[in-house]
Amino acid sequence: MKKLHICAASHKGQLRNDNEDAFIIGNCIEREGMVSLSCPYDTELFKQNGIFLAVADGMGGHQHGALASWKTLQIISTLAGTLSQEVLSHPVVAERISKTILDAHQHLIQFGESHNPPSNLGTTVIGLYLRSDEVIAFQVGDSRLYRVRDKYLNLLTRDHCLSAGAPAFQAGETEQAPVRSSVLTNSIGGGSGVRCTPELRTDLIFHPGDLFLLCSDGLSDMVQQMQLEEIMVKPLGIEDKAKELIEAANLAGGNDNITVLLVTLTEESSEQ
Amino acid sequence: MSDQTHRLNDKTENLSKTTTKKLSPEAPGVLPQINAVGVTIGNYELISEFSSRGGEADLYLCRDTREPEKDLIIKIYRGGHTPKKDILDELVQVSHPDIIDLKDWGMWNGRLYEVMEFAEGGCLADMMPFTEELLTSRIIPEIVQAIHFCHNNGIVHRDIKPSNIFYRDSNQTDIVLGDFGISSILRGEASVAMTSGSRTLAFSAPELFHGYVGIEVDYYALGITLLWLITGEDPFEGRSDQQIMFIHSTEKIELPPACSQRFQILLLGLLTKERKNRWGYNQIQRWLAGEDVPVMADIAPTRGFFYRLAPGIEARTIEELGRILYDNPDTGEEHVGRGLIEDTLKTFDQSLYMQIIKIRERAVNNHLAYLEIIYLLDPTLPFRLEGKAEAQDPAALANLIDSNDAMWQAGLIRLFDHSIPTWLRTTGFDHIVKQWLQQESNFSGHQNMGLEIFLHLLDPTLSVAQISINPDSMNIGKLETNLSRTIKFNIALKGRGFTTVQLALHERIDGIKCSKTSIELHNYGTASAEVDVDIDTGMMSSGQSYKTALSLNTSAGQHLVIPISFRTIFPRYQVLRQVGLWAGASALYFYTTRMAVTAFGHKTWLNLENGNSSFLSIYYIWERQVMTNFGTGAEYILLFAVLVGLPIGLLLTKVIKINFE
Repeated sequence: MKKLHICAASHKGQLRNDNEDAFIIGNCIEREGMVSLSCPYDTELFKQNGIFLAVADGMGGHQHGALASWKTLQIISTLAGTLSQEVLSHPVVAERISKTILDAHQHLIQFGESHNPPSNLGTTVIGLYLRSDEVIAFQVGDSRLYRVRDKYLNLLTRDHCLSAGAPAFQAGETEQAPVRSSVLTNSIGGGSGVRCTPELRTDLIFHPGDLFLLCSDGLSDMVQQMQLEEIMVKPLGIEDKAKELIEAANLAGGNDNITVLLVTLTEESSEQ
Repeated sequence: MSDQTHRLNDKTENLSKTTTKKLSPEAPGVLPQINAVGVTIGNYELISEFSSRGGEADLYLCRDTREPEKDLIIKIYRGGHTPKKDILDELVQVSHPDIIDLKDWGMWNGRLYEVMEFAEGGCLADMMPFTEELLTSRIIPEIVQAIHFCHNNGIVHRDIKPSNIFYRDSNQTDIVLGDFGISSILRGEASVAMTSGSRTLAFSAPELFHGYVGIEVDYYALGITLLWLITGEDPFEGRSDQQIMFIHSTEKIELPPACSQRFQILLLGLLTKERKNRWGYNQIQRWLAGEDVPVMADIAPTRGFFYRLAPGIEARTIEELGRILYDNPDTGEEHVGRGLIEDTLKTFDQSLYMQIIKIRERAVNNHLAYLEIIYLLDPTLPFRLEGKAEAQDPAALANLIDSNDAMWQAGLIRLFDHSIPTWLRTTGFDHIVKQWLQQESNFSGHQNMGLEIFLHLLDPTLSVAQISINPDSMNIGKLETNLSRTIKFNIALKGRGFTTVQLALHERIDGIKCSKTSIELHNYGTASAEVDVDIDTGMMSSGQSYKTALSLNTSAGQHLVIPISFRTIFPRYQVLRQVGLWAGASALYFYTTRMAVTAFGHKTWLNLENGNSSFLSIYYIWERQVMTNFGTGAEYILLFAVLVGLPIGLLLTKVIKINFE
């Protein structure tokens, strides 16, 4: 029997007064504290509806960043219900996800323009759609998706920002601090001139034992990949790992809001 | 022989006198062309001349004066050869039904000549094009056998081309390959194609341009030959030598669009530029048998490629990368796990990059991804079973696993963690993996059995596990009723292998049972086992014959039947024993009691007056009744009973015991 374990946690960090990040597990949208869930994966729920997991990092200052991430995740979370209506093939699902993200983009732009004074509110998003054997990853912006398989952590996404492109990890490059640019080249919302091009990966396979990490740059900017790997491969429950990840980011300065979402699949023999 | 293309129709043309045409030598050290029609060389009378375009030798139709009814071909070399007698003698000895027979050789006027069989049906170069069906059903199988035969005899043919393949008979049914290419043996291994002009260049494998001659060059030449035979055209028509060499070395050779995809795969396999990946005998046989045989794509040269695995461990080609990853498994696996291999390859070979991404995504663990990637980079790498123990091909792996217990244990791990199947799948042995996967689930609880089956898939010639049983028949003879008896059988493995043995008794008879129903034997574990057949005659009536048999069926398909028979009889020994024991024991009692009473005064001891019954009261009756009547004679009877009855009883107990075990 396959069992899915999900844990998401968010923290405002050490410097910010508000938390503009948010996450969803299915229909549940949260931005503070921790939510965790374990459930059988071979059930009708996951065969028909599937589940959306996502982390969004809002921007636009004051309340607007928080609103952007919240609103975007809300739009995405409703998609699972509509996908269950018919048997959809991989590319069709990917297409629907893309379209939904673009809808959210339009929605934020319209909201920003209608606001007085006009606001350039926007958000990043990194998410996974899990349905039976399908895994689709979607990304806009610089929130990241990592995966631990066996004992190695791999970054599966490329940041949509100006400095991206170099491999995130080079052999021997363990001592330098991660260098990042904050100039996004792709975002949901963010003003009428901004391009939103969702990047989707449909080639991923979710093997039992794999551990995905979705996070905002509040984690990945603060914590070295080697340290992330160290925490992720520890023999701990995912709740403890989530706590440690947030702690590590805070200890390193906690310059931004920190959100992590961990998901793993275990295979248990049916007798247990 | 290679120039046996143009037979002269008019034999009279050259039936002139014996003259020697004086022509200027074509190269230093080359003797002039001759006209030797009518001449007798050794036992051979030259009848007519064959045209010889090559300039290497003159060809004549001739007859053996000792066997004049048969036409032969004599080839007189123009070069001043000094042949090695041993090699030529050996070649005359060698013969194969699919190769033109070399009959004789000798020296004539300072020229080497060889005499060979005359193929009456003509050469294939004159009959092109051929259909795919004809090539597949008749021509390829025989040519491949001929090539394989040469290779098995340590000879690289090096002269495979349409004009060197013939029909032996005039009915054109039997295909034969032209001679062993004596000329190439004479030329020596180092100098190759370049010297003999573009005629041979067309069939030259890329490695020949680097001076490498191996058996693979024949299969490349076969590829070009087939290309030629199926189209009927020279694939390099109008090209210069330099262009042809360039095409062989770097360009993809164009395949005829009209031929089937299956045939194109054969051509691709044979025309693979990397000789290690080129198809050989096995692949062609499998292709002929209708299997899907993978073609290893040629990996483009990687200019400026560099990969450093660790200080001092570096690769400059893709294959070298495969090798250093193989040689350093721990670091290699880490680099694979961290995605560094594909990151580096991304700028050199995008196709490989994509393949590696897919491999890593699909692999259930990093070790399998690592294996798949190293064999993708270099399919010629061996498989490491453990430490330094490695195997180059499936049969070698089977023998390695079978070589000792440690290797067997390593084999179990590597089979069931899917390492071995991964290696096989990525190096062109997918058919073995498919066969294995169909039955793998049967062996989840019986891994030794699974490995044994798997070894036979790896090497079908591996001997199967055989058992022997001792004793191999059991006629017990007479068996008293009311006793149980155990017969021990020793079942042992003869030679190698693992097998399970199912044991059963043929006839179900109450009172007979076998101690085990199944045993496992393994030459690296329990190589022999004892099995008891228990016979309990308690339920059997005496005077009956019983027959049954112990049957043994091994998982390796061996079937043994051990007959067991006996006859039950009345238990007379047992009765005698009981009587003896009882008689002896009671006599001993009376005798010792009497001795005691006599010694200590029986009146006091017996205390008869009080009417007490004591253990001596039985004795009292005895003395009153027996001793009074029979006097001391009874005393002797008692002594006799003790001395004889007890030993008999004890002896019989022992005898019966021996008898029953």
